[in-house]
Amino acid sequence: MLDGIPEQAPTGLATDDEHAYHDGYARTIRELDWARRHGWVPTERQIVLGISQAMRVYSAARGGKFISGRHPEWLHGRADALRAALRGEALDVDSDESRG
Amino acid sequence: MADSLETQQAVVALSTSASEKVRELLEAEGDPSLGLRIFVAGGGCSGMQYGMTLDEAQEGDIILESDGFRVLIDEMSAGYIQGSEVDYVDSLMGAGFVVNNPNAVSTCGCGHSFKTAGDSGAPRSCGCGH
Repeated sequence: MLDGIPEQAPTGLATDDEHAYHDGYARTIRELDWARRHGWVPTERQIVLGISQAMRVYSAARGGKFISGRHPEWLHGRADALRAALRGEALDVDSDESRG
Repeated sequence: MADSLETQQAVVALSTSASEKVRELLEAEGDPSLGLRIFVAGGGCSGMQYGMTLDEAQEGDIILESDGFRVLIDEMSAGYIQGSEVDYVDSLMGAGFVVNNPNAVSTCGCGHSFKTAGDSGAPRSCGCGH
């Protein structure tokens, strides 16, 4: 787990969207955690690029009616998780490697 | 398996079963302005995942005319799913859309997750159990 980054994403979305948002947020935190524990620390530039990509696709997809695969709100959660990581909290590398 | 889309450079193609399912969903919506949006999201057991919505076209979209409906792809997603084929599978394992991506060097049995050569360099098992 990344120390200082809340494992639970911020709330306030409608129920159906909220689940996808939380899933995207938590999944992204786990990915970052896993990568860092394996020796790869993303640069600020790479994180910003990830935020940009997630938000560009989210902006295009968020108005539609979801039918399959990833929910658009998943991208919203991902972008917010990357923003949290960009704020530069320290790492705690004790989390479970098998997650995700 | 797929019907070619009538475009100069086909980004994606849909199988007959996928086209029929999309038309069914669009007819249920009853809004002729809607089309099938396909997008790519980060994350997944094999790197990237797909999502699909019924949506209106937006500025910057790549718009493909399929069998009676439009396929909408944002520019960011288009680069990852170039040449893909969308199928609709109804089996004992369940029903749903599956995207077959020629750019993927490893994919997941879920049909939604893939990794391209530029991401990984070599195929591998995703280990998710599919």
